[in-house]
Amino acid sequence: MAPHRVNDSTPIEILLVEDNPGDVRLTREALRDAKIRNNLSVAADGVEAMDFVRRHGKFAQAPRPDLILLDLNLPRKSGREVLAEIKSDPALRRIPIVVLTTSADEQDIARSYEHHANCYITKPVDLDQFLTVVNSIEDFWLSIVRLPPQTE
Amino acid sequence: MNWVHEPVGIWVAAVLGVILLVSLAVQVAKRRATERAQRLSRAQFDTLLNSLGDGVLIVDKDSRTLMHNAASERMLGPMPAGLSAQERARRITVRYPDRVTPYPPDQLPLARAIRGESSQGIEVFTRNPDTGAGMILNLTATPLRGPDGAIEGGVAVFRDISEKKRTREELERSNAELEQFAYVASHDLQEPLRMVASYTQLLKKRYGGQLDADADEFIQYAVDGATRMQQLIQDLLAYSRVGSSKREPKNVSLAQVFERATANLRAAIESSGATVTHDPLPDVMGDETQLLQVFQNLIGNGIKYRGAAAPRVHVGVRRDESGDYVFSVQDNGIGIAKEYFDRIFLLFQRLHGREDYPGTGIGLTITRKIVERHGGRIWLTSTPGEGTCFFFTLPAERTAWHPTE
Repeated sequence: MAPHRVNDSTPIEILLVEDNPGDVRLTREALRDAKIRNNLSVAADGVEAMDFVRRHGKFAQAPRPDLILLDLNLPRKSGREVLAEIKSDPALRRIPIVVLTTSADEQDIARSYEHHANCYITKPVDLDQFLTVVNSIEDFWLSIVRLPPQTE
Repeated sequence: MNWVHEPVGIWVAAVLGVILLVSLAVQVAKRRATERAQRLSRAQFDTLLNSLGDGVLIVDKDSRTLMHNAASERMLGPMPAGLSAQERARRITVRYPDRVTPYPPDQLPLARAIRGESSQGIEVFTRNPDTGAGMILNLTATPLRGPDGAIEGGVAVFRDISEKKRTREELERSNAELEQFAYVASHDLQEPLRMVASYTQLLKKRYGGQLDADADEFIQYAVDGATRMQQLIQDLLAYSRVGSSKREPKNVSLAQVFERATANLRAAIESSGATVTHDPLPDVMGDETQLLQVFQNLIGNGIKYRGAAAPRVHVGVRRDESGDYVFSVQDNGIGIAKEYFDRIFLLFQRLHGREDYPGTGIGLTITRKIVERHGGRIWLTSTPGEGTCFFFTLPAERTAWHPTE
């Protein structure tokens, strides 16, 4: 696959790793009106997330994510493990990972940064605030920030 | 010599004899009196020993039993005099309070006492040899020294603290359960609540005004309910966290705490035109975050429950007879009627509707819990229509920490 850049009209590929369908839908709604075109893929647990980024099995044709939104509390394999695995894999560790989780626990925050999470966001309880946060993520990571070129 | 012709001699002999007899009699009487006195003092001693609730066991320097009292016999069975330490150990097994690990015999308090080491408050587990009932004893043992200071034996005093220990363990277990509940509430309860709250708000956003007025009203009630429930859960969590905070008391500058509280209340102060003043505030030992909550809550209330005039809140301090600090937070607000003085400290109890004054009714509950945890008390005086003054004490010494509250 040819590498693509932010300035192209090709949409940004976002991988949302989230097991709660309600939260998936909310995120989708929030990203729908984003200024930058984006394509949202979803992995429902840590095992699926790794299969997706590694293009294993049914994800053989999956797009390479430009940005990963990662929940920490997931079934089968936790977001913490996914974070550690991706950030220690030379082929994958460039991908910016935004930890987006309900946990406000200081240990979780510390450990996420230790494993090189690009940033850590606690999901707001209020809907408007949640929408603002997702819009901010989109503003910052998709318009302001220069994303790394793909490594293939 | 002729007896009949020596009357002086007889008299002398007779008198001597009488003196001898009397002195003998006096000696016997004295000895009897001493013996009686000793018996009486011994009787007093025995009565004293046997009326004690604590068990007493006295051994000689070879750790053989010398005597024991009635309480000891009740707890550990009879103990014939002369019983060696090994025989005692055979009758009565002693373990650590874990009920499993055997207590090394040379480490037992009595064994240490006859080596010259006193010990206090040692807890052991043992069983009554007759009934088999298990109990936790609290032991104190002291060496028994003769007039020359040499060790002659040891005295052990012990008390059955099984009941107290059981109560303490139950309290710890109940606290652990409460902490677990708080954790569950924070994570597991909040997530479905977030869904209800978010989607009702999304409904309102997306369809508000497109359905009929009834639908809008229904959605509004649903949104309000969900939002309030979120706030209640947050508050309950805050309340439960007061007791579970494991932070050690540190030196806290209340002057700084005051600055932080008023900084946090800046929006309320500015929008109400409030004036907040204070006496010079001391340093105390405690939890800074919790003391901040106290000041912020009381000053905040003084601003919130205001009358028509701009709020004026003053934080004062003095010392009482026992040297403790007595803080006062005086306002010129709407005041509180006397019959509600107790109620306002209860969980989620309010005196006003949500529309009149915002809040869930947890502020004073948390404030009181924090004050009491620091070893103080809180109370108030008030005149409806004129103002309220909340008082609370904080001990000046290292706070009397109450970790189980």
